Amino acid sequence: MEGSGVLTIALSLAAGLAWLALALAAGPRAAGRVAIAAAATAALGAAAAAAGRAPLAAPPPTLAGLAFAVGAWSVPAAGHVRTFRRLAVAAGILALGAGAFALSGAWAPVETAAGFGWLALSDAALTLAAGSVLASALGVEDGPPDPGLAARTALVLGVLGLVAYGVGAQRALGAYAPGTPSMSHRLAVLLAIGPVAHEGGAGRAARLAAGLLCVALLLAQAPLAAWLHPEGVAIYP
Amino acid sequence: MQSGDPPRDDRPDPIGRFGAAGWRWLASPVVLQAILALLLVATLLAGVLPQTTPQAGADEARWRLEARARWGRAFDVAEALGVHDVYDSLPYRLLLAALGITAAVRLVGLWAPRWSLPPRHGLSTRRINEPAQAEGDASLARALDAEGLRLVPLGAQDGLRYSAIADRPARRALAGLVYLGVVLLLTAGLMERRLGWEGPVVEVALGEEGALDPAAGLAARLDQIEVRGTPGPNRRLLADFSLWEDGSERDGVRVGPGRPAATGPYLVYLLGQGPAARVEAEGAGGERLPLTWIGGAVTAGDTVRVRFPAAEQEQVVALSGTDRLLEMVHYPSLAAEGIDGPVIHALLREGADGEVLAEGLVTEAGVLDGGDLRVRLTIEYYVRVRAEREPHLPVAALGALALLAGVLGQALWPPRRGWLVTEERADAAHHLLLGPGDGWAERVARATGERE
Repeated sequence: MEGSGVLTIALSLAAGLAWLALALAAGPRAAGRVAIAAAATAALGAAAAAAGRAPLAAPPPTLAGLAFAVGAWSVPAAGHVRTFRRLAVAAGILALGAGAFALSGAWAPVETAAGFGWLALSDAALTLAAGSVLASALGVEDGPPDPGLAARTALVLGVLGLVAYGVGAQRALGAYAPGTPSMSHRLAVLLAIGPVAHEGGAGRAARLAAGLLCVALLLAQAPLAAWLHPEGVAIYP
Repeated sequence: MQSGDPPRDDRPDPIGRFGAAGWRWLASPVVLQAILALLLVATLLAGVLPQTTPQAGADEARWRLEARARWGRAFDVAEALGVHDVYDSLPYRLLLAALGITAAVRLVGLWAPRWSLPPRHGLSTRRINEPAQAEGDASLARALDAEGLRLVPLGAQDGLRYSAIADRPARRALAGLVYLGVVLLLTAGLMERRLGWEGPVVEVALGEEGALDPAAGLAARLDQIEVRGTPGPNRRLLADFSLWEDGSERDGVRVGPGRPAATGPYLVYLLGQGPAARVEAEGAGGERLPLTWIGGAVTAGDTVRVRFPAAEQEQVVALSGTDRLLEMVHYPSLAAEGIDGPVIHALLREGADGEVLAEGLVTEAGVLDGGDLRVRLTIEYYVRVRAEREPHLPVAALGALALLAGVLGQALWPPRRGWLVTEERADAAHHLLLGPGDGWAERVARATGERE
């Protein structure tokens, strides 16, 4: 296993355990919780970045990125213990999932010859968007600083993810909407986020359903793209 | 209007009422959410089922054959339902048109508040009694002004005045960019369909020529390939082309993956790359032997460049006049032989009885010695390029930027909207405020004497 894979596993598992311990601990004050949450969030960011080339196309870094996003939203919600705990538990489970997937070793990152930077930006933005929707469904809307901010941020990140993919695809293929499976998966993520994040957003159940659909799409996109069009993956998935 | 004047009756005629109802329906959140939900279903279908234009440069006929072989009868059923071409289907285009219309209606409602109508659901109502002598911070207009909001008269009917409550122009402009972006992106798609042009995908190896725009006489020759990156099937190539149009030479271009080049009205894209082998043969006396690539491009000469597309990794070259055949199989790598990179397994055979005269694995360059003749092999690359005319790209870029700026603006400063129905009486003005359940509407109502 490459060094980056070991680093991903170690950081994901450490961050996952830290989140779960944080959720169980009743003692630490708000400042302490924020500090520990920030450290675990940074560890997950590093784990996602360490996952290698095409960092978020494979399930382990996708889960690490989702845990990073959910965990990061717990920082402004630290004053609300219930919300904080819900987010910490979710971040912990996602981070442990990332470590477990990486341990399986079955998920090699997809090699891309073109548009690596745009793809990475797109994947990162969409993963953070899905994480923000999950966070909004798990209760961050109850807390400060602004109810609805997580859902609205998800929409910004979703649009950024799709625009980044469009720019990369235009430069690589001469079509900003090439109709590839990856484009469809990314567009579907944005279309799932849009209705629950626009104009004040939707109810918690709708946001949770949208978040889970986004997670499923992001986890499935690399295997699906490879299965549907194996000849298209090498140059631009 | 003075408070003592009789209110003007702006009651719309039946056509106006019908138009207003239609306008209100198009602007309602339910319609937008229904369109987005249907688009989501269609997009999920396109993401899960194979589509006929999977990526640029793919041979559709071959793709269809392979897909039918892979999915069998299910492919035909899906094709009959039209789900292999979701993005080009009529229902999908109708959905996009509906999205464009609702986006335009919402854009007008934000940028021209006189055209905004309250939705039937989702608003809270508050009753406010404003005494006639209300002054200073207690007046409704003052309270709205303090929130950065203003009243826009919509009309009067049956003694009631109707007004829209509009946000600051800058916030409305920023929020409206979301819908402007959608409209521009859809317009760009329409322009692409009507005004854009896409040339054929041309496969060329070093020194070969291809017609990028046969109608205009635009042709290109691959002069040089620069190889970058670590060895492997996905090494990054930069290809230098010389171009000419109707016999006159144009400036050359350098293209790479994700790095198109502009020449005149065209953009030239490098869509893909693959391995190729340069083959040369010479007889015992050192004379060059003519070669023919069987099943490949119809060119005969003493040097051929054989390409190995993903679906055809085995190629044969005939050494004309010698009854010898050169068989080549390309492998991206051969772990069993300890080769971690592209390699060609080459066999030189007698054409008549198939006897193997020479055999070898070639990683960069090599020679097969067949006794009375020698065959030289060198591994190279071929590239796939396409020229396009894309007048819609600036519109699409503007649309993407507007969309990004709009969602960012809505995230930071969500547009505030409300409506006010006022009944003027001698002692007081009675208001019905339609707005959000909390936030600015709550503060305005509290400041001006909300009636429980």
